[in-house]
Amino acid sequence: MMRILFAMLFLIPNVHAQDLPSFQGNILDEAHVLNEAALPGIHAKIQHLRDERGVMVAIYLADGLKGTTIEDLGHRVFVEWKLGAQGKNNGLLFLAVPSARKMRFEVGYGLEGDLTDAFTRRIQDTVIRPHFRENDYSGGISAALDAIEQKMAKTSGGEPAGQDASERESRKDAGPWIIGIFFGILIPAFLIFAIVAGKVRSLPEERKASFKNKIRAILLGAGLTPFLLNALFGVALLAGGALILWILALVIGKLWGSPPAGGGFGGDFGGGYGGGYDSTGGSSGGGFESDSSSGGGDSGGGGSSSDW
Amino acid sequence: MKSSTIALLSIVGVLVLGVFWFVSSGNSLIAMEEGVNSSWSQVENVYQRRSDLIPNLVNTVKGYAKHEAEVLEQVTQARASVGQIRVNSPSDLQKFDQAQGQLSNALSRLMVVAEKYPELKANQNFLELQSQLEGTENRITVERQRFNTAAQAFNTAIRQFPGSIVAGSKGMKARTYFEAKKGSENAPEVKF
Repeated sequence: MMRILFAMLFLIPNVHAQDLPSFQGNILDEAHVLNEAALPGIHAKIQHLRDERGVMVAIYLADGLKGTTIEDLGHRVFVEWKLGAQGKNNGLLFLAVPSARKMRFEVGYGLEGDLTDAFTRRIQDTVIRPHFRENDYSGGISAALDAIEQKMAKTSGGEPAGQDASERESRKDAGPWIIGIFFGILIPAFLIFAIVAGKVRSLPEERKASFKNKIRAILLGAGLTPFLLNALFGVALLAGGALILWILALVIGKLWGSPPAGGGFGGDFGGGYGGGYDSTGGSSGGGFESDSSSGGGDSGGGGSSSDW
Repeated sequence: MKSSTIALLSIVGVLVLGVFWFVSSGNSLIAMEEGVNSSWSQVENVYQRRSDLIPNLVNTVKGYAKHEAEVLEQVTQARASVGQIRVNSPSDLQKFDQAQGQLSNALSRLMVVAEKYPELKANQNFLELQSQLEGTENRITVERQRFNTAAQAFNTAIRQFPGSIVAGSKGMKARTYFEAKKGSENAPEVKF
């Protein structure tokens, strides 16, 4: 308790992003405490929670606190791994640091309604701690996954509540205006120019000449010399070229940079665990879909921590 | 090409470019400002969440620790003064932060006091409230950090050169953010 209130009062030491592990799969056992024989069972439970209950679980057994608090580490890892699907924010991270005997559940925004802080704390107190005290890490995690399964089966039976989901999503999607401007300004401007040019061209020869002369007279009257006009044209050409390149870069960046909408659930990446976290890269060993950026989910620091 | 056509092309090109730039940087500044606003409302949400927990917590503690009237009173008062603050200007944020800091201090004293009552510590309701309070304190830390990040990015964007012209024309002003906790020098004394 005091630890958390203190964390508010003191500056929390910074963990640099490069110190955090990248997302390598649903289970990352840096501390080497999990029993190999129990892994398939744990994987199956995680998969079931993901497919049937809409909870994307990741387990991280860290080899140390990395110079920060368990709360801060949990949140940073959650954010780094982007657990859960974008918009649903249905990620759940279980973090344990055996060397410090500290553990934490970090709950994504979308699951806060089902997996309350009090509930995650109760699992730690009643289910996990007894196992961990006997150094039975696989058993503790396995039992915790069962408890979460039971809880989720009781509630919605799948679709997480997704609180704040739409709000957060709209905050992140500040992109489409680029396309809006492109169509809203550039194309009308081009059309107007084309229409004017077409009108001028279709005029009888003498009126065309007089129209051109008029424009030239206006421009020359405004103090522009033919030399300046040519210079301006050069600048405009360069600027136009740069503009087109810029827009191309933006559009390509948009298409390239963000993962396809809809997040990771029932994702497009097959193989191994069929779907898995929304991944944009190859899979690593163990038959798991994984990538440094997983689902795009977010957490606001919900969850609970305790010692054992 | 006739020089009149060239002139027309140039002017249209320059105008379009200027308008395009102005609108796009204006829009991105607006998006950033909205980002700051929405992270501010998240900050308010989590503080409100903490306030909402307090009556229940105070009542539960009261049931087991009647002699701690002073600490309980401090919490109730700090909560009441937090509720009166509306943040509309930069100086309000400081007041808000101060009042919330006082509430944090009062709450941490309350939780220290609670340690003395084994029956209270065994009470299921209290345990739940305690973990909710812990979770909320952590959310507060997270949302404050997010607000600061958003506000700093916005402030940088409206003060740097080309953006400052657009920001000036839209009357955008720099946002104050939470200072690194001043409270660290007057952290509550904890006696075990």
